[in-house]
Amino acid sequence: MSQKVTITIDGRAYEVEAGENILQICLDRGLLIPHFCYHEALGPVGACRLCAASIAPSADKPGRLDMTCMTRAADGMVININDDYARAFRKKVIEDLMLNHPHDCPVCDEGGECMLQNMTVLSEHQHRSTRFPKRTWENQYLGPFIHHEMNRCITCYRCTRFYGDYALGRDLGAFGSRNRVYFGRVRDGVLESEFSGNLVDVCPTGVFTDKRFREVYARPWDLSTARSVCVHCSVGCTVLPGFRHGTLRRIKPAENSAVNRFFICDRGRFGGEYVNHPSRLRSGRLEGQVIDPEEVADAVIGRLKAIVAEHGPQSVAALGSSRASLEANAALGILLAALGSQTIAFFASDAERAAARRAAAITVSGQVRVASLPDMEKADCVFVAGGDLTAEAAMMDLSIRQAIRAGAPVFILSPRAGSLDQYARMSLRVRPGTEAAMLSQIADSSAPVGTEAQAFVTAARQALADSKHPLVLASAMRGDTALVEAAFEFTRRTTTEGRVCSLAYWFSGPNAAGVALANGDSPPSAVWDGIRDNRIKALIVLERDLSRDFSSENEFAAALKNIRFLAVIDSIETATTTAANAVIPCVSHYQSSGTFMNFEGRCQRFAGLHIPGPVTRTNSELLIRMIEALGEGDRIAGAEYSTAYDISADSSLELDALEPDHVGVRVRLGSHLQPPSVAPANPPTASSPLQFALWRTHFLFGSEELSMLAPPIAELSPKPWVEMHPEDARHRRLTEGATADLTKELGVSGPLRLNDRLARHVVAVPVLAVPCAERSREREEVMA
Amino acid sequence: MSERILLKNIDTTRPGPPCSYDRYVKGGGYEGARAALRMTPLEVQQVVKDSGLRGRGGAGFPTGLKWSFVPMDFKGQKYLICNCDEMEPGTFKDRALIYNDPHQLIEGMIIAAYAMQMTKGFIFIRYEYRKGAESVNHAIAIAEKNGWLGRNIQGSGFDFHLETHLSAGRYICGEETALINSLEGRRANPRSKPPFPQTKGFLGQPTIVNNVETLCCLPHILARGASWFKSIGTEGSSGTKIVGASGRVRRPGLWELPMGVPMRTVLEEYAGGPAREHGFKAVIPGGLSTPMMTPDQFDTPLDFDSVAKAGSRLGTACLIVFDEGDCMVNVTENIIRFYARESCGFCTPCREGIPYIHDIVKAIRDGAGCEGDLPTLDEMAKHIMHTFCAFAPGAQGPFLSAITKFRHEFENYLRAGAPAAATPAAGRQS
Amino acid sequence: MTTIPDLLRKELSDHCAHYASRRVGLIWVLQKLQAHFGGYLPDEAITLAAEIVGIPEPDVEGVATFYNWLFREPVGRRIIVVCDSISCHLCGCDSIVARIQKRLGIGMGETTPDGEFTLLPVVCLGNCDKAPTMMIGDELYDCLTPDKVDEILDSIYASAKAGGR
Repeated sequence: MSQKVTITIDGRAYEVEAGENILQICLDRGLLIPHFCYHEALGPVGACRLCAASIAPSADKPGRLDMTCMTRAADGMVININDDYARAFRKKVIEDLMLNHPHDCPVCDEGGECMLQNMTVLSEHQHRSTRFPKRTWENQYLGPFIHHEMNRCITCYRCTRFYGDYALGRDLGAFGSRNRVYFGRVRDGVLESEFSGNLVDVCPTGVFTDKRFREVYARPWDLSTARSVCVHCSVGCTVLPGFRHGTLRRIKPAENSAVNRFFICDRGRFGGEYVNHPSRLRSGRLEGQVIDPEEVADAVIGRLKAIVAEHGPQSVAALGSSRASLEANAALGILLAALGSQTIAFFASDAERAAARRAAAITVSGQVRVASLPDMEKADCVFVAGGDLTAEAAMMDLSIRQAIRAGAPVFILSPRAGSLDQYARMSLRVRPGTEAAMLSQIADSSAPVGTEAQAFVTAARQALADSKHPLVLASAMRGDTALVEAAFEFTRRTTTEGRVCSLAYWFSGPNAAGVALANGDSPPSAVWDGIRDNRIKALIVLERDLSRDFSSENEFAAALKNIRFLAVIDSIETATTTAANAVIPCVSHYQSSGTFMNFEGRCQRFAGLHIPGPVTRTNSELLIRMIEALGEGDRIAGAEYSTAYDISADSSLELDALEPDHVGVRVRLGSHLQPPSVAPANPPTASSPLQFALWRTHFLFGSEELSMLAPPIAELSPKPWVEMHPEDARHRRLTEGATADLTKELGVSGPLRLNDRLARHVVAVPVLAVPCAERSREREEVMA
Repeated sequence: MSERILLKNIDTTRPGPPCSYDRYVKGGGYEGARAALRMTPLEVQQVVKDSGLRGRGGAGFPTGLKWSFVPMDFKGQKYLICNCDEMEPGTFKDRALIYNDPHQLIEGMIIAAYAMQMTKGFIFIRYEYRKGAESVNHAIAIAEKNGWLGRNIQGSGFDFHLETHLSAGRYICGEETALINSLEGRRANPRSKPPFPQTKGFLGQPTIVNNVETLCCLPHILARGASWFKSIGTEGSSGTKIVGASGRVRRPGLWELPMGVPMRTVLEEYAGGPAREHGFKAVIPGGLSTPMMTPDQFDTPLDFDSVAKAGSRLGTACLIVFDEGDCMVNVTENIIRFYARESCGFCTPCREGIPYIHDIVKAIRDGAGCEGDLPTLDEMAKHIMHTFCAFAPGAQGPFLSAITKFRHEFENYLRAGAPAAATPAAGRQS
Repeated sequence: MTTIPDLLRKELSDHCAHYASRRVGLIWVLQKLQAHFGGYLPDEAITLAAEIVGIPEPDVEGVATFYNWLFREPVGRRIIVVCDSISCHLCGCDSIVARIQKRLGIGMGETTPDGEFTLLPVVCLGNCDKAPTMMIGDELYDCLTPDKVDEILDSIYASAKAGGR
């Protein structure tokens, strides 16, 4: 148990935890001790020797110079940061580092947010006296994200400690020795880690800098920034986008102790450039005519009113979005209600909706412990089921890596190995749809086990039996309600005396959990059936590319055939906006304010930046304008707006109380909202093992539509392929590189790749969010 | 000359063939181990404590006390490591021990391993001693054949598996935590303490690292008793010490002498006095990393406490001797170059500071010194005391004493430039 | 991509397997690979070692570039290391180095054009009572004088010519 002790720092007494790190104690209390190698997430190593202070075990003993990062608080300890000898020593350490550091501050990319600059000023080193030549290095090509400039290195080892020790990356190292230590890859090449961008932040100087930011460089103090929430997956990391001259220049993580803490993944950091993509919508369109966005909004209302007048209110439907805020989706619902209709859907399919609604309901139900990212780091045994965690919720993966570092075994149930599998205790390659059954077998030790899974289940059961804080992570983005249910059951069953199992689901978008909790939404089939049966004539779509919900462009075109009027609000050009009668452009996510609910039911406010440009309205503003144009503006004021999703009705959540720098609030639903009833577990989709099952593989780079518009992400996205287990390919007499035509069986074809870390009898294809512009260009090329 | 104990089978003037098993046993070899195996492990530890044995690797930490930090109730694997990474400039005692009498070391390791119930051991040998490693490997095989290593040693029920590890070469490997990292196949950066190796060392298991000479004392202590050992040497430093002398003496060499022998006796009687017409100017007493002593201190007895009292350290007790013909600026340049080259590169003052010192000293030596260089060197000498491990403080020993005790020589260089004679031969790289 | 004989690969792998952690075998593996590849570790040796030991390549490279006796660049058939630490410095190692350099026509850290010798400095060889001292290959030479250096090199060249390489 923690024990309070009293220590004295620069003459003032502080009560602190015994054993706490002295440097952290000081930093937490605003007592700035210069330091480099220490990082709250990476811990102390004592390499830079900068954080020296005079430390005495008690007031009657003389103080000795020691490193505060390597000292733990003990009762009576006396620390003097301002001790003359300590100050002189720190100054000298900076002088040491400056012996070889280039004097390129005025042109250095790091200038203005350089820790070395700050620490130099803080340490009062001003005069450089060395007259000897400085060491120089050759730099490496490290891929599209990171620029390398070794001459600036001060050898604090933060990069390898983050990259290798913390994020378990395997391609960055420290080479050489004495005053010739080099940090880089064994040979030039793209950094493999999904978290490589954090090197930019952990490096205290400009050795690793953001390559994109550096290309059109701006000084950090010239950037307009506002705390936002990442838009590229359901984890909801807090980020700090920076704009200058109307374009987004970079994204950095912002500290959020309850979510991502210090770091973000490379999709989050480098995906934001979609904001600058040429296909961003810059003007409104109405039946091919380019007009002012607000004029389009007004015209849309006119058309919708006319359709309602002609065919009745039920002839209008809406499709909301998991990448738009709660407020925007709420406004869409209100607009629809103002028109007299209730048909609003949020998901790609009924199955995805069912799974997401069940998962979200469980998440906020309070019936089981739901793990946040910091909670995940403390798990002592982890089960991941139903997908590639690294690709689909990367920062969860980084938290699991912390659990792994602390010794937690990880067991993965998925059809195809992903990045996390290399650190897992064991992985079982399963057919899609069978994860639920396997998870149940692990939890129920009396259940019989098939021979193939014997070793896996036995090991998993043993690890579970040995654990005190197991954790289950399951996908809620693939429409597998049985898996959602099985993970819930697993959590309940394995929470026993002395063991608390926790749970988390990951979803398909940054606000998928939020829209999954919507009351009175419809299954998507209600919308598509209505269109097919000519009952629905007009469709309003919010920030959503419907073409991604269909397996082919023909199917998509067929589904839209009967629509009389399609209006889309979005910030980017998509296949849907291209097909729309009316396009109302809104600003990008990072220019919008609103609320997202992340995977754990945490509502996080984000602040938008007002950036001058042809489009200035947010999606919510446009929708509110449309509601007002209907003369129904009253619906916006008051309760209806904020309770559109019923999330605040019986919870402590008051959205307006959330400040942008808040860590967010986790929603708990009251008894009034029963978890949506769930259909009995759906049977595995491909029951005959002889049939091939299709596995759509998500990638961190390439599968998410917004980030795919960022050039460095697109550069790293996979090319289309079809993957098979080598044995399966052998049976089919297919070899690597041959064209695998499975159009009849699975509707896919392409060049074959062999992958022995893919389940048998499964065919994998990448989910590729090919930008609209490229798709049409490809089409033109094919036609030509 | 007093009784040769550790060196009784060794001709220090010529490396001969290593002492054979038969000869070793005939001379009373393995009796210490036999005695130890008849005792309980804790009794063996007590004997070593009572003997007053202090580590011969340089630090002089009481061996029995160091051992007592190893948890005896620990169930998992514990490791014993012999540090034979003898790379301390001016030190050449362990070479004699492992090349010439490997069984003595093996016996010492058996005793230590038994005392702490360590069933696996390594002898970490520097690469340049690879021929010595061969004789050790040969001796290990013989010892195994004779039931002294492997399973159930001499029917005692105690297992001890011993092997050699040939280092890839780096001075810092002599630091025990760096050595452990190196043995684990890592870069030899020192580790932070705590945790100490005794509780969390090699592969995270309890580990003891002892110097060759320390381990070689054990067979004799166990065979002849703690009080016998304690009767040799001084109150605070019992036993004999292998003392060496190199540099400007007439007869450089190694001698086993009781702790506390006056430095002057070694210099004059054993090493035969000055090698050249010049008188002695200074001595670095314990391998390079100890402060210089001047002729007025030559009556200092060579034991841990007396040398410490004289402001230096006994270290390895291998004296490096300078005479009046030696230019201390040139000497300092050589000394500091060694440290700059062998720094592991982990912490700032050592990695950056020592090469900076070297740049300055070299500039002074080459006649390119500047006003302000000496105060800078003074500051740097203080500065490098606060490093991660003892490497840079080790460098500070000879460096600070040189710029303090022979400051006038540096001042002369700064005033008059480099004298032609002191400039090193052309073509030398540094 | 160079490969190594299966027998060697097995020997290396078995050696690693004998430790509680395979990584303990890394330096031994690198020493063996260095011998196999003619005295140094080409890039493929780093890849091989990583594969055999089962650790990331940068960890291998970090070790291969840290130690004095692991070489990442080609070296001569025999490596001459001359001790330049304090006792040998006092006893004239500079003149030994100068003679070797003059005789072989190479500087410190260089290899003779015929690929016979590479000249390097070395940390104290622990032979201080017989300074100055050097090693050529596995052999230790002590109490050196510049003329003795000539004799030693002569005899090595002579035996190399006689096929005793």
